[in-house]
Amino acid sequence: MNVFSPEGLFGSPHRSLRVTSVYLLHTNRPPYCCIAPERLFSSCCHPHLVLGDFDLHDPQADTCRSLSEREFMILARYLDAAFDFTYNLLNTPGVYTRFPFDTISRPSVLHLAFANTALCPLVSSWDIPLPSTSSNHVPCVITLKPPSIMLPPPTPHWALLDLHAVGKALEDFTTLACPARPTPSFLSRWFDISSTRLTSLLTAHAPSKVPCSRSKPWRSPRLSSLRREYHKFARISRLDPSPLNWRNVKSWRRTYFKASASAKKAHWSDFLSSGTLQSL
Amino acid sequence: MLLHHFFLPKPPPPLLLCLMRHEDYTPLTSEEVSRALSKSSNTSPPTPDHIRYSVWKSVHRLIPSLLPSLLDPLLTYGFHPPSLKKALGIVLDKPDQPSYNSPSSFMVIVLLQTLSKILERVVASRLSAQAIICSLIHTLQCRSLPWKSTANAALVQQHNVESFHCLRYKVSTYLP
Repeated sequence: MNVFSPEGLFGSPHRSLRVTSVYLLHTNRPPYCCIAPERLFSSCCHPHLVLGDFDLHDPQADTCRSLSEREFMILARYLDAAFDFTYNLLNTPGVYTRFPFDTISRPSVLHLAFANTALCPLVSSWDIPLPSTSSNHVPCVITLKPPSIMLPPPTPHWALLDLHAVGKALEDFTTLACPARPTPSFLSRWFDISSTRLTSLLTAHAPSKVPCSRSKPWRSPRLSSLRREYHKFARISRLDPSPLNWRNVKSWRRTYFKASASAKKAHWSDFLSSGTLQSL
Repeated sequence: MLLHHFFLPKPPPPLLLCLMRHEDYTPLTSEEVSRALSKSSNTSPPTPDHIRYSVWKSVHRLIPSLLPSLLDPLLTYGFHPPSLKKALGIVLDKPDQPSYNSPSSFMVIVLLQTLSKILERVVASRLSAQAIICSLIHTLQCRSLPWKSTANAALVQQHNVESFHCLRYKVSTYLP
């Protein structure tokens, strides 16, 4: 099944997703025909999900099961093909997907799901939260979602540290007295508490620096103020659409766009002049 | 019985021994900390504690007795706390490698805590001073020693050559 999305899937540049559902029978006796691993896995550049009943026990998904030599030989062909084309197994190890009704057989993992490199960042989870569908197989739910951009945590902006206030706070700061003949754990705890008190005091006097996902290296306070002015005049012009206000808007927009373009150009030329082979 | 055979009982925790103060220990002075801080770069990348050397320099300039009072007990008892052993590892790829599928194509830069580095520099300077006093280092050993830089080594070499010239020997040297 091919799913097309003209605007890209989940915010990614890929416009199509291919899902291949598999039901394997390891026999070539007519009318059945076993699908060769090379037909299942391919080196496609768009996201590809291969899932279904492989009728194979995978030691990665079912860690407690020991395989026969024949089973291992068949499995190796499929796994080799999957890993050659950089597909990853999505199953959670140890989570069974087949619960037989008889009391002789053990639960097992026969449903396998593989995602290629293009799809892996979009896979959020693989789970079996749904109840049984009166079959001995339980439905597996694979959740896809846009890859989240992990922003680094805020860090103190040491350049803006208020040294005057820190000096006053440090005058009142006293390190805890270290006892005579301490044990290693006690001395370690003493040092941790003392150093944490000191670092917390320093961090409290420095403003936090939160990097924004949209922040660009050429951005400057001047550009921010120009943008603020441009939007202020644009709001005024919308409320009072007089020719004078419109002229102001055009003037501020021209100034802001020009400053932004020149900042980008300056940053790029600086990058080219200072770039080394290692940094590139 | 099988359980005891295959899973051996855990060893008892070590006894909580008290740390002993070193008898011939010299207290840490603020000058030593200043010397250690002067060698530190203000632009070094952030460490796990997010505190740069420039901040410690400012703190030491404001209250010179603060950092020695914090680090002195560690030197007194010869103990390095586990919190100072935390490090931030940054994985960088080595340039011009034929393939980046192997871990050997990458290198890890380990950033230790700034307080740990300050303490390390203090101990290193003390050790090198002791090594010179006890004549543990060869007299011709240069580099990484106080007053024995590569410039000093070049001057010594030049002096030796000129001394032999005075004695009418034909001597020359080449410094690449």
